[in-house]
Amino acid sequence: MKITEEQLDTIKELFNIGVGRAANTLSTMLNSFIQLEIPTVEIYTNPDYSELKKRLNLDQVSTIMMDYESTFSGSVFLMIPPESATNLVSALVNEEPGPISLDPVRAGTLCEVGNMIINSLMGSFSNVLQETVNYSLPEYKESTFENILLEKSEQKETSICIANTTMKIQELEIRGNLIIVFKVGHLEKLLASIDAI
Amino acid sequence: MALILVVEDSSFQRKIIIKILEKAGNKTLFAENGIKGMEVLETHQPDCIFCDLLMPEMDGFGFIEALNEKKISIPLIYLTSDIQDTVKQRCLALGAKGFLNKPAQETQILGILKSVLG
Repeated sequence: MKITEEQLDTIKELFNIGVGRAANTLSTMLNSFIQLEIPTVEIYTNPDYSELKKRLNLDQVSTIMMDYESTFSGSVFLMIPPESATNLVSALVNEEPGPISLDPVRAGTLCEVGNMIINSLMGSFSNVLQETVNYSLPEYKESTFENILLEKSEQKETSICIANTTMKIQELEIRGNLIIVFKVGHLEKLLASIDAI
Repeated sequence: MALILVVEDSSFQRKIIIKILEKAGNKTLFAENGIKGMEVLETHQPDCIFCDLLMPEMDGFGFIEALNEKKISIPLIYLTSDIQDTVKQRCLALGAKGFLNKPAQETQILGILKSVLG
């Protein structure tokens, strides 16, 4: 599928707005300045997940996932390396980092943070494109990068959009990836909405 | 001092909101979703409700619709991660008295509460 420079530019800008808003959200929650890297945005159709995993340096990931329905539909993932997730939870609940585990406080806190970050991203798409987005409840999983994405990418024609960014929160370096997986044919619907702006 | 019902599925968020409300001298009740919120209202008469939108079983839209159906006129303020303009408009059209995005600061929460309670 051919994506024009202008369409890609718009998607990058929508990610920029969303990630900026997400950083602001985290900054308010943590009451601390967040230094944000401009996200790199890439789009793939039929991605090779094992190659992507190596390039993004992601293997085991803490993931918050939400499905979304709009003119364009699919799933959004916030993927954080487990050690970054531990640092983030510790900073939020004001406790020393503990062992990495699936305890309910960790899962609940990450779900709520992921909910806010994903809403910051998709809400920016919605507000600019004037398309209402409906969400599923956030879900938290710890697994490998490939397993998590393969669950939502059963069709061969799956398109995904990846924004890779790092947020520096004081001394903590929290790295995260926002990934949008589109239902088959729905990246084209997003592009049509962009063209209609 | 007011009695406030907090309808929120995230224990993390509940803790933050309840702490802010109680620090300002209010009493609080909580419910994990809209259905539980309706159950609380069978036995209590809060002065105001803070409500999340995205919750299991009965979400924030379902909750305000249930309030409207039962003609319960307790002021409701949405506190949500959803930043969509269209969603905010829908909430206000359904009768919400306020709409705040998470994470809301203490001054925002207490400010909107003051304006709603008069």
